[in-house]
Amino acid sequence: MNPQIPVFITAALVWAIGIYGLIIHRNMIQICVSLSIMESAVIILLVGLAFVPGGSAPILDGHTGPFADPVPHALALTAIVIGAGFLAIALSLTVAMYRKYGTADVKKLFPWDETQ
Amino acid sequence: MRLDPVLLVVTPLISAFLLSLVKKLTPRLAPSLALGLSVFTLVLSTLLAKEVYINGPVASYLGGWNPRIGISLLADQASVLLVLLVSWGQTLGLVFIASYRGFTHWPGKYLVFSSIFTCSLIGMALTADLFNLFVFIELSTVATIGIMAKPDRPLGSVAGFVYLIVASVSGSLLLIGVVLVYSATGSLSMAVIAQEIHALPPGLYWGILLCFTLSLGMKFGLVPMHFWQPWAYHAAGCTGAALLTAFGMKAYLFAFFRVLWVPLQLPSMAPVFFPVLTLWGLANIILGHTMGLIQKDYKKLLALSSTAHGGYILVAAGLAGSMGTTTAGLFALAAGFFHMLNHSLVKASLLWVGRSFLKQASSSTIDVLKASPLGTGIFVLAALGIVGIPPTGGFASKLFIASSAGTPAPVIIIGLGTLISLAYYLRIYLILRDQTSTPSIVKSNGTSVRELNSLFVPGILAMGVLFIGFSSSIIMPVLLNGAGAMMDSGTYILHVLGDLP
Repeated sequence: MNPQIPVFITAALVWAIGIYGLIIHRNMIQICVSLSIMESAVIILLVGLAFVPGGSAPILDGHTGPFADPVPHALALTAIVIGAGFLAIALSLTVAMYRKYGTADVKKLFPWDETQ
Repeated sequence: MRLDPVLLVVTPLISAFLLSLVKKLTPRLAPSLALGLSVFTLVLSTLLAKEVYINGPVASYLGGWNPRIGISLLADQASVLLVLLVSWGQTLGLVFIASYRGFTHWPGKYLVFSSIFTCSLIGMALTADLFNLFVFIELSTVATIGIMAKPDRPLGSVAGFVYLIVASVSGSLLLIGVVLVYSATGSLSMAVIAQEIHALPPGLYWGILLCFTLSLGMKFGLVPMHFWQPWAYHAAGCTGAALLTAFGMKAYLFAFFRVLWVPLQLPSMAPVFFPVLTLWGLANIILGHTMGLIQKDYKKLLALSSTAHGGYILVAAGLAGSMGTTTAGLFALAAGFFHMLNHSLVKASLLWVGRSFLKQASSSTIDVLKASPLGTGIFVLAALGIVGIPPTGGFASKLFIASSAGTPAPVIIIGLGTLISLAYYLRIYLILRDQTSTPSIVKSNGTSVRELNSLFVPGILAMGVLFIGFSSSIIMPVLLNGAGAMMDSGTYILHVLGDLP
């Protein structure tokens, strides 16, 4: 079996957990945590993708054997930075809303009636 | 010496940092500087467009890396059209704010975020790298939240939070799509992917297509993922909402079309998806217009109208893809581009003239809106343009799209959508006519004069709708060139990779 498959299955499960959390939670902090879980799944996917059995770190020091693919690592780093930025914005909006309205319940803050 | 497309990305990005700094040190200087830098970006984009249309596409390789492994940008006949549209949008937005606020201190961070937004939209148009596209889309998300969540608009923060959730799901789907493409082709360059994607198993290909469609669909408002738009535009305020819908939405649609035609090679890999796209566009038209009909809020109504007009553009792209790179196919996509141009003009005009209605009524509820006779006149002209009454550009673009359809269903739905939109814009007109306000021209604090000035930019845009209607025979050949560049992936690959092995 391809050693990457369990990693991909794990990533899919973690992503599904994140999406499930986003759907069922109404508290903004819990939504932020769900967002973070969902983003972690994509990072797991990237790390799994870079894995090469028996591969070493991609450093050109005369090593001639197989090495891990460095591109997904670079993508993972960028995705982590973007995810951290999004999480910081989401948390700061949560704090601002809680100070203004005294609640972090998105259902109470956000009237969904489209005709209003 | 040829103009490097990277300048178009770097200029608004540096502007954002510069404006942030200037706002701290000398706030009164910031508006003039923002306008100056925006005009500079507009001049650069005009020069680039001229260069591309005279001498052909211009490629830029960041750091001098081989485009197979490095990031490259390509300004072709299609992407420069979007670059021009976005540059004009930012400049007109700033002129609009200056018309009612003057060149004194502008509160908030609009200047900074609008520059970042412009940078991201131009980047989306020019990039030839899928991961770079992801980064620009995420950058646009941050800027959008900044434009929405203003301190004086509490609802903006909530709408910003909801948008952030939608954008995070969209971003993760896009990243999964990019990662799957990379795992299958070993490259992030759109040109290389286009060469390698034919070897993909159908299951994986459809998974990737689904990821990109859902992700970008959330951004431009593909039904049923358009639910965030009414609240976002309502929260953003008229000035910011115009930037998001009139110009931002077009960039997401453009990026979607680019991904379909170049890296995903949809015409050869899954041509059956184009009729699906046409049907999805028709669903957007019907649902957007129907929801608009029952809407009681002016800005939310315009947001739902944008959902419907995104549908018209999708229908044009779906028809173009079904017909392939034939004269009829190119004409259909050019018609879609024409509709993009028309919608940008009218939607910006309707939102910006709407600002004076909302100010006078102190509400965005349609039933209580008030307008001056001049404001009503501008609204009527822009509404004629968006409904598609001759001789406006809206009529020409809808006629071009409908005439591209080989079956009666799209024609019937486009006609039905036109009738529904006529009904809701007529309702607004009747309310404005009955509640005409007669503000004194000059007040001691100059407020009314500023409100009058604020009608200048929407007035010009509304007249532009008439102008493009009359000059469609001049505009269409340019757009046909753009459509050709969008649909001809072979030329795109050649310009990005050149003679490289």
